[in-house]
Amino acid sequence: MGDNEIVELFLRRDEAAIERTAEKYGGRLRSLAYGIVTDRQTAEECENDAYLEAWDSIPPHEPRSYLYAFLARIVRHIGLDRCRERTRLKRSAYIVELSRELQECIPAPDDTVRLIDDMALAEAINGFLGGLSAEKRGVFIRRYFHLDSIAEISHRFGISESKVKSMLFRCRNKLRERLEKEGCEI
Amino acid sequence: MNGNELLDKMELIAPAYIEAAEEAPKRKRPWLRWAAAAAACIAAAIGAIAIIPHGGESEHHTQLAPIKLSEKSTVTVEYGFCEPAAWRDTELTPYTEREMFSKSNTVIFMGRVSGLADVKIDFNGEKDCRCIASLYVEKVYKQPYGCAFEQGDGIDVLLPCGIEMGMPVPEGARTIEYIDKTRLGIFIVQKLEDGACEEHNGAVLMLKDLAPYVIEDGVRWAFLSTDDGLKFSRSDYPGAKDAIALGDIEKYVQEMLG
Repeated sequence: MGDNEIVELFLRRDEAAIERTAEKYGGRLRSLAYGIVTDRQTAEECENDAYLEAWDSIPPHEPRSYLYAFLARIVRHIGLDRCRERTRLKRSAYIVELSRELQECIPAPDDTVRLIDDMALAEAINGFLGGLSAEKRGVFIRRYFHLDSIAEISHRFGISESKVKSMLFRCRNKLRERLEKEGCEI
Repeated sequence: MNGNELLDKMELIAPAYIEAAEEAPKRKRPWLRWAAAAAACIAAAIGAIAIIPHGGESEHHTQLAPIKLSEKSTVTVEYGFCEPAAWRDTELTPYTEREMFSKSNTVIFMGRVSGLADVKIDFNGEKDCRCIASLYVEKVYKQPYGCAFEQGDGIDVLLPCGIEMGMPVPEGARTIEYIDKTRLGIFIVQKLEDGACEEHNGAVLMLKDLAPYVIEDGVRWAFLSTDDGLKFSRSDYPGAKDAIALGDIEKYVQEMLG
């Protein structure tokens, strides 16, 4: 079934929407959640919670052309919250590591002059990603959206771990420059 | 905002990028890189011998393959830039917004420019300039029956004016003037018919001798992502006039394609 038809089921409040979504994207969403929480049972909980959140969000949202990305954002958000809430998952240290890396991208972390709105931040992030090669963009997104480890990225792209690290280092610097250039005081 | 919050905000990444990052990348194999490097050296050596130098421009183009014209073409073509011909018709064919997306012979895709080569065409003494752009396909939204482009494929496209040498482009090319090597964009290119040709001053150019696909004019058939924002003809695409990122254009294209 196509994404458009699935979204139509959501809009008609037909519960088959969740079944069809699970059939089509369940595996990918569970895998994304597992990459974040590294616990099978919690990953399944994240997936199920994501379906409920999608049920509550469609409508008003109508992600006909980007249903997977829409669901992936929800799963990621839920997974990150779970990690922060539940220290037993022992994943919070990894989230702290990733947060510390991204802290390098923030031009003036202690000088909050004004809050940048999400639209401007989205433009800055996507503009920055658009200027990268497909490989660098993939590496950056796998690290900071999917939360993959350096070793996983190295294996996925067939490049050395040191190259992944240096690529990410340069990308973070570029993102910082981009945010500075656009006057994003975040 | 701190790093923790910025990590959360990575959810703002455009859907197209998220989808692309889910796909398995083409893994690099060291032996393949060796083979590619060796092949490139051999090709460059052959190219250097095969291309006859044309004055001061020869050095720039020694790595390009010679242009082979079919028997039906009676023009002469060589790599290099010249001013666009004054006799060329620069009137844009009128299309509605819907028609831009409904032509049966178009490939609509997200791609990145991987190479640009200007060519001078001599129509019995009157010269014109075009550019052959090599694009690397990242995502296909529409293609004509019989085509099977997918991520990673290359596609050569004939642009309506020269670009590569950094010379100013003519009036009526206000979008493609932002094309440069590595530029990412969404492109609408038309597949050329076998008999497609241009005739002037008693000389004929079979367009497919230069590239199998063409961009009809320099204004309407590309949406380019630049450091200064999106570049495209907002007046020709009213449904996308508020787009700010290539992801917005992707969504718009998908909506237009239904």
